[in-house]
Amino acid sequence: MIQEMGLTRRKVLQLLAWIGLSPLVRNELDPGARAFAAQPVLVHPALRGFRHASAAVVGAEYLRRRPEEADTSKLCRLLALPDPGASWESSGDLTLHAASLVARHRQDFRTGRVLNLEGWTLSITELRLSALLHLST
Amino acid sequence: MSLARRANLGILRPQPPMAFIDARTLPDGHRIESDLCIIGSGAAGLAIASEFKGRSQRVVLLESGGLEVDPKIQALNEGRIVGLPYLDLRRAWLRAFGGTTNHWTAHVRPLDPIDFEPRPWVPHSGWPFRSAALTPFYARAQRFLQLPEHPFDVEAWEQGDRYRAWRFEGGQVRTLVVQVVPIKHARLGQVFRKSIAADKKIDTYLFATVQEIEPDGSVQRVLRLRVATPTGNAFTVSSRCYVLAAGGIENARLLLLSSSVQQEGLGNQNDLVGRFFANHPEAGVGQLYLSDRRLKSDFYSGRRHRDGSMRAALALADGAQREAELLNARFHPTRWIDDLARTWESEGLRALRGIFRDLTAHRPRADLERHVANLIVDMDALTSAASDRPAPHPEQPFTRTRLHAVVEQAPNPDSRVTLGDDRDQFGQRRVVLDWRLGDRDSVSVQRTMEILAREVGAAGLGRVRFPDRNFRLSQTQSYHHMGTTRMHEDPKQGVVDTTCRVHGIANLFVAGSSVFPTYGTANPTFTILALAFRLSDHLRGVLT
Repeated sequence: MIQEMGLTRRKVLQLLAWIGLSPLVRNELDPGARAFAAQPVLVHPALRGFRHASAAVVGAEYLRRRPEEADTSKLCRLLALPDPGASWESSGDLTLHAASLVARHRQDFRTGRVLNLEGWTLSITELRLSALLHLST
Repeated sequence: MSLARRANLGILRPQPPMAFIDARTLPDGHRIESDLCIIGSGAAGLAIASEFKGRSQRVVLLESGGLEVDPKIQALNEGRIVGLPYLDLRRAWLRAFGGTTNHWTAHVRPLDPIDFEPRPWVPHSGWPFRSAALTPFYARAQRFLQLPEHPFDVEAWEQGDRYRAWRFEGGQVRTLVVQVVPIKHARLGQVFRKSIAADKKIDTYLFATVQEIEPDGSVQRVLRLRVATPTGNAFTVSSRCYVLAAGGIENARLLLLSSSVQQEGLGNQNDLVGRFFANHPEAGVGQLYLSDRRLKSDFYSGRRHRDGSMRAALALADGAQREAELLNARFHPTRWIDDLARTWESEGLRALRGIFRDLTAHRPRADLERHVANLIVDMDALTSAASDRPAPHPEQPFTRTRLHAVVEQAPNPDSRVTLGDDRDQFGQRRVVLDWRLGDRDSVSVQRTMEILAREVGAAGLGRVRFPDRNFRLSQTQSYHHMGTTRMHEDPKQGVVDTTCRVHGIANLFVAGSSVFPTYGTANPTFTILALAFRLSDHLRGVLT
């Protein structure tokens, strides 16, 4: 279904990788990141260590508490991301979306838009992103 | 003869200096007269006595114990615990020259300005003066303890350290410094033994346990103290002024025991003596997961510098407490090794068991903990420091520290010290301790943790885990006895007035944390000393 909607796991990973707003290409990428870098958009250094499997587990926990959000389109809408079917792979769009997500993530903590997950206080934004990744795996 | 053998034979036992008088050697019925009599030679008593060194007034300092702590004397502390579980009363305050400073952890810090303010959301809160009134006396306490310059200035400590305090946006959370007094300056009995003994106008009586404070028939002045020694002889002390400085529990007990004229006890005409007993509840309340290993917690876990040692803690700013209507609380991020070191210094296996309990209770599912930790690290890396990450981070690379909370309890009139029917070796009634905490105290910690968790997340430091949704405070690890003779301008709301004089009695004063009307989170001794210097100035004026 995700494939049909155009939101692939790779795209979610791209998105998560872009949130850092760091330089697009770094020369000192480690071997693992260089392998990613061979692919057109997976060049962000933060991706070098991103554990999507862990995010997916947390995302599953979140959706267990909020099953009404277990829908990729809905999560994208809640995160103010483009519709899964839309094209949003250009670097400009990704940068804007990443900036928006970072701002939302921090704002969540400031305004109390947080959820207690077995004692951890986590931002709704990071949980929804994790849920998105869970649905895309 | 070997040193050990000489010690066993008592040859090396410290002998009282000249102006230290073993009260057991006094003839029965002996009468002593002085200008000022201080009951208790702990921090407050010694601070006041030291202020009279070299002066013309004759000072008598009464100490229930000797130069060293003796379990037989400590047995006088025994009592009944009927409220929340409490520490061993035999160790809760020490009857020896130097008082409880003979085993205190020597952590000092002034109260925060908000601790002095009446807070509408905290019934019975507030001091009769603001924090600025104590500022010059805190400075004297600083010199008395030989603390370095700027002992509580975070930036000053950072300058001499390679570690830094964490930075928070928005001013909701602050870092505070608790100064740790070096042992050589903290054992006040040893520090002041020679100088007190050398003063010709100060006489210290050891093994002198006050039995009753005897007022005149109209209970407007104290006439004399009845004092007894373990060997059975008794004597009296008559002075122009008296300072009760026997500790937060014993101060109340002595006033309640002094009932030959005023049946309910001295200063207790409004049933306030012994009420409002408070301590600092403590608990391991959660964990702080730092999302970058470069974010060291070392600044918070006890630092030794050329000028001394300190520990830092996290707390809500005064404004944040006001806005959310919370009690004060401070949180020490501690590592296992810090807990262990402190345990060995203090309460041994009892505390160790408590720490094990904290560590094992509410332990998260191992797999979920790993995944959440990974997410936290990745998310914070992405939002802040991704471009600086030096290498791929390993699985679960967070630093987890335990958050140890030291909490202010709200003044509670039902939390109290009374007299029981059991008797001590002098035939005096022992204390009954009914320490109580209210729902407000625990709820305040929960809400403070929620704010702290949000601020830690917003700052990109990591995440806070506060696992127990039904959290309840119920224990302490400290001997901070406060509130039992609280200060208030109105005799119907306090035992002592703003000068620390017992309401209605012209020449009886109280020193120590028993006069605290509100408690904050700071260890009390620094404020005890500040108040003692303030009282000394007042007494010097009265006695000239």
